[in-house]
Amino acid sequence: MHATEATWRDAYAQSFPLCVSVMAVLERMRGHLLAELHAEPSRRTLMEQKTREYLRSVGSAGTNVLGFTTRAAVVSAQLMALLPTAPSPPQRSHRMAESRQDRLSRWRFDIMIAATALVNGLPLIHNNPQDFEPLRGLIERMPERFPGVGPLNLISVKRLAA
Amino acid sequence: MPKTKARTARRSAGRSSRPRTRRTTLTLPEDLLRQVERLALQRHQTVSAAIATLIEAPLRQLEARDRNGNVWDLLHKSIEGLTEEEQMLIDGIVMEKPGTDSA
Repeated sequence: MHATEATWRDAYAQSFPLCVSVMAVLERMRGHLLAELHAEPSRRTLMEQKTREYLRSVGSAGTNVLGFTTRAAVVSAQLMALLPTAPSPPQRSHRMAESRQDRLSRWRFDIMIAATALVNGLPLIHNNPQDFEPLRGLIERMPERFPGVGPLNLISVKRLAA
Repeated sequence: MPKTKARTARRSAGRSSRPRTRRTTLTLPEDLLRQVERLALQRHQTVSAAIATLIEAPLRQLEARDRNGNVWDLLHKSIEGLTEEEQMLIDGIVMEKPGTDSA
């Protein structure tokens, strides 16, 4: 972790409560379990330990996990209808690529996480400006589509670490 | 129910909105105590109430800081020491060899 990010993180934690969307927990747990399944035998024990550590962080007394409500579902549906495809392309490396299906599923998770922040009136701390900025822009352009919610306040960890 | 317990129950029911208090003895630096007494006088409070008001907010903040700090640390620990590919997978980015896209 970048030093600037860590400093900011500690200062933020001293002043504000932190919450996690239940959709972020779902996405992250899916990732941990996939990492266990795909791990080389020599890395499997480590990956299992990482899953346990994540579960401990989610289950600890300080973690306020925000549920996915009907209101969040309605806001998500609106966002998914207006921005059906992810703003950024699937991830690619020289020999591997993310499938369109996985990219879409990740995009929908991001929308549900943003909707949870929106309906709870909380800023969203993220490291993915390519995807969250278009959501913020859309809500600003079409506020009539999102009555009673917004604007979407974003805190980019990438920008802080730059 | 025994008499003493009933009396306690009635008393606590009547004061349900007030937090329970406990007597204690504090030793404070003289100048600090004088400042608190002055403040209590200005606010028409007892010295006990003034001290309680003064320490409540910082204590809550301290508690929140400990809890939040712990969550960050645990979250960080759950990806520490992993390769870039493993971290991507945990972030939900599933990479496959091209040509296996089923969509």
